[in-house]
Amino acid sequence: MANLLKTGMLLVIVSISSFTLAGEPGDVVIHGTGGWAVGHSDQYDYLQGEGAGDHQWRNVDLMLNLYSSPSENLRINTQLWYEIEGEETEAELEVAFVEWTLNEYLRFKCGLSRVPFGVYADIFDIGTLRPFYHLPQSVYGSVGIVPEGYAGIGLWGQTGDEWQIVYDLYVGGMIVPDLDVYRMFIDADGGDGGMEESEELESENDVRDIVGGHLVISTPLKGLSFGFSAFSGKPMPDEEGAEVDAANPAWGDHTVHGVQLEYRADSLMLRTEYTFADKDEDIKSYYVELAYAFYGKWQVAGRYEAVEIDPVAEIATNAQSLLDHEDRVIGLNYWLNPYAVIKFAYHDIEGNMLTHPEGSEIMEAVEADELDESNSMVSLGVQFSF
Amino acid sequence: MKIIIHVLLMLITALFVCGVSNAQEHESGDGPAYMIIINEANPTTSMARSGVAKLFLKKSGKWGDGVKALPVDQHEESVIREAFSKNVLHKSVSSVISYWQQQVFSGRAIPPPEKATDEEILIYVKANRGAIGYVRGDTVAAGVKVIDVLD
Repeated sequence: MANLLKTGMLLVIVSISSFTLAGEPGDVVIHGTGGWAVGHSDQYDYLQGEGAGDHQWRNVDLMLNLYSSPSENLRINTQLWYEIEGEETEAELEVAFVEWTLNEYLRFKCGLSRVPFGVYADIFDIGTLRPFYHLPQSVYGSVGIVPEGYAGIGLWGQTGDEWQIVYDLYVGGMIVPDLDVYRMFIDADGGDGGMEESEELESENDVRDIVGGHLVISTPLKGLSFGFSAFSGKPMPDEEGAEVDAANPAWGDHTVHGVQLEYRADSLMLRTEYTFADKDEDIKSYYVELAYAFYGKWQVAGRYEAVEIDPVAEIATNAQSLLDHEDRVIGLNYWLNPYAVIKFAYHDIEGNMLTHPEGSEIMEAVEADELDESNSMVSLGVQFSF
Repeated sequence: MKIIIHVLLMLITALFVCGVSNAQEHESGDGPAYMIIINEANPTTSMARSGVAKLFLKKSGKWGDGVKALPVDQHEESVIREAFSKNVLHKSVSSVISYWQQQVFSGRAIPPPEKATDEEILIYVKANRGAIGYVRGDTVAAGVKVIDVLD
């Protein structure tokens, strides 16, 4: 699949004899975004930071956006994403949709689209639109709140003058990330035993028959907006051939709600979100992010984020920290221009939900009660868009 | 770990010094006068500032008579664009660039085409019934219509 995508992208690029960054009708318009980062973690792996004194320098990603408007009311959009992480290369088709515009209040789209959810879901990979190299993991990470895309049918539009409204409605299917690490330590008796080993610490859920929506309201106070997001669908069983048991709460609807508040001025930016996921377990996630630009090119930023999980069952006492994640981040950025930025960040992490020993070592650490709940990570990277 | 932190601190210090000097070099005063122009066949004679902004940010896609609006921008380094962005769009040029990045990558819209000179803007506006652009205030605007912008 990866080779097919690579070949397809090369063919597309080669076949475009001339392309532009800002288009006139009929043009094929190409944009892209990407980044590189290296990190150091003082304990366990977290994002680009590798524990045990290792430094992985091969962390690169690139996304290409191709857009064309063959006629006045029709446009086609595709996004292809590549990532190199160590020895692994991953390629993915992230967006491929056709949109038909009736007017600015009503546009229909079919295909694979970004999920309109919260502040960042529809600009997931765009490092030049955020103050930190990484999105808040509590909402946009592997915790299991927000997927990157949905395949199906959507409609959206915008209206208003002083108060401006942008809305999205959609139906379809999506792959939602899921975090299984704590489930290794579920004890049906509520005691300390019953650990089951699993190699898959993170997985994905195929959620179908999704109905979702997003509403963002921009206020007359320039730069201030707030919004609401929600989607709900039916998760499919993990095992092939397994039947959905409607009476089992684990097969209940996968529902996620979110509220967002954003203030963006030329120098100051504040973003905050609160999300609640009602799946087989309940997950509450939130973050507050503040950034301030000075001397034209410099930017300082801070963020606090946390996740609270209400597990499906009691888990071993020594593994309780796998239910917690808090991250306090400070960052310093240097903007070469609006298209490229160098980012430095320091993360102070509490809890082992997203940072813990890998593979069988996690079992050993829990059994020996040696999970270290505190972790710190520094990262340096560059992100660009064109 | 100490080596990495030292390297990072040196890098940050170097960038900081570089940034302060760059910021001082790029400070500039108010931009020159500009005028907003449309195709001669367009019946519009004046527009509210917010209406012009909506066309340039593609929040509105059509003129009152149903013709598709075709905004055309000056290139990013243009002092005219700086003044237009500040006065009409109420944003800095870099904020406008961020706005378009958000629109492009979320699949909403793409930015208007950019032209390198006033002459190219005039040619584009003359050639397209729904076009709207802006040029330096002392440009000879033959073959296009200059509109009043009401605040």
